[in-house]
Amino acid sequence: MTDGVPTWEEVARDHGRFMYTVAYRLAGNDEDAQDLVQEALIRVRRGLERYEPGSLQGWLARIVTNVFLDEVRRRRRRPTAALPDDPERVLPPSPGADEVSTQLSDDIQAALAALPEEFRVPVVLCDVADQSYEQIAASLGIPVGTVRSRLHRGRRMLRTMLSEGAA
Amino acid sequence: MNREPLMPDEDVLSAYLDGECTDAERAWVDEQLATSEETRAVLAEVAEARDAVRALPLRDAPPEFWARLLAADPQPVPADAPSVPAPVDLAEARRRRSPGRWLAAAAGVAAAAVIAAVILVPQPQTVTPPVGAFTDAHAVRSSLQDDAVSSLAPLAVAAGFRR
Repeated sequence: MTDGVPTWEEVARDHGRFMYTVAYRLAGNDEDAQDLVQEALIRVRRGLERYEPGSLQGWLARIVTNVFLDEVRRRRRRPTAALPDDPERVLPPSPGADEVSTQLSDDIQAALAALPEEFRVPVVLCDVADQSYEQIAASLGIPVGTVRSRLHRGRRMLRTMLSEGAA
Repeated sequence: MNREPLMPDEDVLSAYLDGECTDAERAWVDEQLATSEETRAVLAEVAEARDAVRALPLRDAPPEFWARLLAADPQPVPADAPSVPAPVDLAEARRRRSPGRWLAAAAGVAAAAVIAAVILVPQPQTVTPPVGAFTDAHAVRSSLQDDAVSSLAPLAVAAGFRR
């Protein structure tokens, strides 16, 4: 690390798991998450020279989110590829009597993946990446009030899906 | 003139949970929670969803992912490498990452797994493989080989790195 700026290797080693988690929660599957992290790390490498020491994880979460949103937009232009929030991509969790914790995580992940992207992204950035409303607003280029509204609606939708799934 | 206080939007409840509301909003929510069963119910539901997502565990990439990331052969970056790759189809790119291609690189992947373990697991000694060369080579080679993910790279660097 030089002057508080990490090397690419340090980012991958120390924050790769964080980046992958954010990518997976956004994308909803491992294959897309791997593509997102791979691309995000390339952008990290290119951007490290300009990185100003601060919230490194906030910066990384922002890059992963940008890559995700770029991919969503690209797929919308090419409808032959499934969107991450395509309901068909939300596979029913595999039942497992001795894997209650895993089952619960799968249920939450499935509900998260079923959220429309405009609600899922603020929820992931707030509750997975631990970003402030202001940081989320800056990342997405929307007002803080919109972040607040989408986050709340997203959580209410999640709660509804989880309660319906448990019923 | 007496006036009924303006009722904030319901989304103030999420902001309340996140510590993102104003003092006036917090006071209003506190007052509502003391008197309104409905407000308490909504807050509990939102808190349940929030806590559920926050409790999700960190997700690990498949073990071969990090190895594969480092498995590319470092190649010199051509001086005339295109800076803006042409857009490509992701499905096609994935087909190109078919098992046959990876089988051919199996030996390299196995070796790279060892490298990845050294790099990604904290070690008392610093190991610095030429990852920069790897990624540069990947970016350029991918652009030349129509890799869909890398084709996005130049589009958002400026937006993503400047606050």
